[in-house]
Amino acid sequence: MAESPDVAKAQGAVALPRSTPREQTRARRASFLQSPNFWGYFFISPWLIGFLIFTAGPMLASLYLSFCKYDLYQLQWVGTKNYEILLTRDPLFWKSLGNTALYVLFSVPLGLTGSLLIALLLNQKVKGMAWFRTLFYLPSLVPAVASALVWQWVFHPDAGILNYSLSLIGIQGPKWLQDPDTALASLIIMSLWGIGGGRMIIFLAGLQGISDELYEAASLDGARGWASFRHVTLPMLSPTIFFNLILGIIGSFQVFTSAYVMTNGGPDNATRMFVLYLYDNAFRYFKMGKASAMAWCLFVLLLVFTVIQFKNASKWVYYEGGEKE
Amino acid sequence: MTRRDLLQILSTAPVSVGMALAGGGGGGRRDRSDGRVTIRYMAWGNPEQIAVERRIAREFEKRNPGIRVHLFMVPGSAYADKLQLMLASRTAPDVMRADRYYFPALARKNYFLPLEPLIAPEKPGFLNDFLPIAVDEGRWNGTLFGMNVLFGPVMIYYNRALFEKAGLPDPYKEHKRGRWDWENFIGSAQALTRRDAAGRATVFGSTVPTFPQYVSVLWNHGGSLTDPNITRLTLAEDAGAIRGMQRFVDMRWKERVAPTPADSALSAFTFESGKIAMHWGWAGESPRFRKNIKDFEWDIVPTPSGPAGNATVVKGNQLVIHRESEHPEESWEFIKFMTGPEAEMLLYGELRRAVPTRRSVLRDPAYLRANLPPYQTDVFLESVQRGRTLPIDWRYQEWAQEFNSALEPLMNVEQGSKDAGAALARAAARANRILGGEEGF
Repeated sequence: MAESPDVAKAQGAVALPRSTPREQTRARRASFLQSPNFWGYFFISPWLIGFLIFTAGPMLASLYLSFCKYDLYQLQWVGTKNYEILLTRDPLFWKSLGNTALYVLFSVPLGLTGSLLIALLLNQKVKGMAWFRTLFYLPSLVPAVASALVWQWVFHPDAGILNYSLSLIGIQGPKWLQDPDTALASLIIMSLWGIGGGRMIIFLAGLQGISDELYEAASLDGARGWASFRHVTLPMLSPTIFFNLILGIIGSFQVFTSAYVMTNGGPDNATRMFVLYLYDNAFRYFKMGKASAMAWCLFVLLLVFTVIQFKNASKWVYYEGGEKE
Repeated sequence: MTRRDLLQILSTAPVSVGMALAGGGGGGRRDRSDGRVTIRYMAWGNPEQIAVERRIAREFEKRNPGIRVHLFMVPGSAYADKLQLMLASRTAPDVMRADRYYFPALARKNYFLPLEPLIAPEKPGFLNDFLPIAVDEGRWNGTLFGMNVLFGPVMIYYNRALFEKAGLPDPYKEHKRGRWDWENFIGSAQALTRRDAAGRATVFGSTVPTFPQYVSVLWNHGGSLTDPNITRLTLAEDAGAIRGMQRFVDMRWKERVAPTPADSALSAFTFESGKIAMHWGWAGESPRFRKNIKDFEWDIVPTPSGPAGNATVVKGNQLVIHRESEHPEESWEFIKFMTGPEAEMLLYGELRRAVPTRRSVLRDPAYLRANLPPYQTDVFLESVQRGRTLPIDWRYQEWAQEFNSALEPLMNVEQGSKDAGAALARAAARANRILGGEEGF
């Protein structure tokens, strides 16, 4: 039981003055201002505000718009009709999704393999390696539109370097971008232009992070060349491969520039990619509701793909210090 | 500054910045310094045309001291998007130029001011001097929303030197003799096409026009593109249209008188390079040719007639007033001046960018007299008389994209060029799916 103030006073204790509500607020504020959380939020606030205004806000708006008919003039709530029409009555939706899926299916594994091979080459201890690394990285610095224009020339059926090279070994090259049968393949080939870019740098960083001790230990066990690559490099690089795979799939599903500049979706919709069709709906036909619904379909699709990959990752991704399940 | 002031500034800042980025806010405004009304006019065009429009605007200001015209140009490639977004955000200028291709799509959204009430106080018969076909392009659902400018036909530009070298009669003379038909055109193109020892073409007889420039070939073979109300494409069930399309495609793959897409892709075969004898193009291309062609003489002739007629595709832009303009009367005065005889003479007589929409100017000897190519200016007059407008509805952008896409194998791949009827059936089915589809989806 607490002593009464009079008893405390009688016992010679010094009574502390009771703090007023204002003082309590001030104290709370001071403690909040001194907490690391406050300064953390303070310093990320420019990004946070930007994210809320320019990313989260538009995302929520597009979610709402995907349930509306909106032509920039009249806004009308239509429920799930945009989704229903896209999924059941719009052949171009499926055509563009099919084109994009094919593109992803080929460009991602080819791109990952290409980037990894270049990174392995550039990880050798050879004189002048800094120059080689710069040289391989250079193409990725060319703006996407400029490289698309260059590749239009490469694919030219009569004067392009590709068909010229094929003619030297007696093969008559196809019409590439002008033929519906080969146009999508042309874009996949063109996507390899970027194998020396950021993805290769990430692989290179991953390779350099593998400890020499592991190779030494493997070598003592008799592992050389392929065996060393298979049992040391690949497992140790698996988190990097996984990271590049996730980003590669997301990026490839959003392919736009090459199709927009080089073919505009043609010939005969052979290169009409999902995002290009979305762009057409939004900014050529001004069907903002339909375009928003497409954007959310793509979001859900990518989410599902990413979740599946994360679920499967435990089977093949090895984290140093972690345990393989 | 109080906290309330600060909050007010912060809350209005994004809107102000947005409006500034969109090219300034609202419609016209009254200048605080001299009391003049400023109207804003947005257009696009090449430097020569911009210079002439600026001259017209200055001349208008002299005649109307109380009005200032703020002319601003937007690159052609971004114009349609910018116009649409400014209209949607209610920041559009007072007067705008809208291409015929998307004018119906904008007019149906009620963005433009009907012009009839503004025309009513004018002299009776104000519209009588204008070509009816040009006036009709500015109507949507019977209401006049736009006055036509930069109106013109598709014509054939020809390289006179190549015709002389090939020993062929001048196509203009053939046309005057009534002999400029499809057979004559193809025969000339064959004679004009030259190949080297390896069989590679060094000169082609003609270019292949893109859609919708070639629609006259279908018309002149007795076909039509759509039903009268543009509810569906009918050309796949139309023997005349199929015949016209096949003859048109044969130009490239059978007669081989026109460059393939592979040839065209290198820009080696252009009319300016002297390696194309006949070029199908809009009237508006003549200033470019005048500027770039120094080595040979060239002129114009109407598109060839066919077994069923001699129609020519015509199209213009519409000058429109924003429905929310604060100065509709002043805007109308400007449009009236822009489509008046004086400005038309300057725009079309001096620059010869296109064809006047006023009959009085079109027949004026001062307009028809030419010191610079093209010299055969009566071709403009005649082409307009043969003129037929394109079936463009508010969904044109979408169905035309799908139609063209479906026709690409026919146009671009030799193996696909054998059967125009099957290709048209496929293309029409895809376009009709859009035309028959539910609005807005």
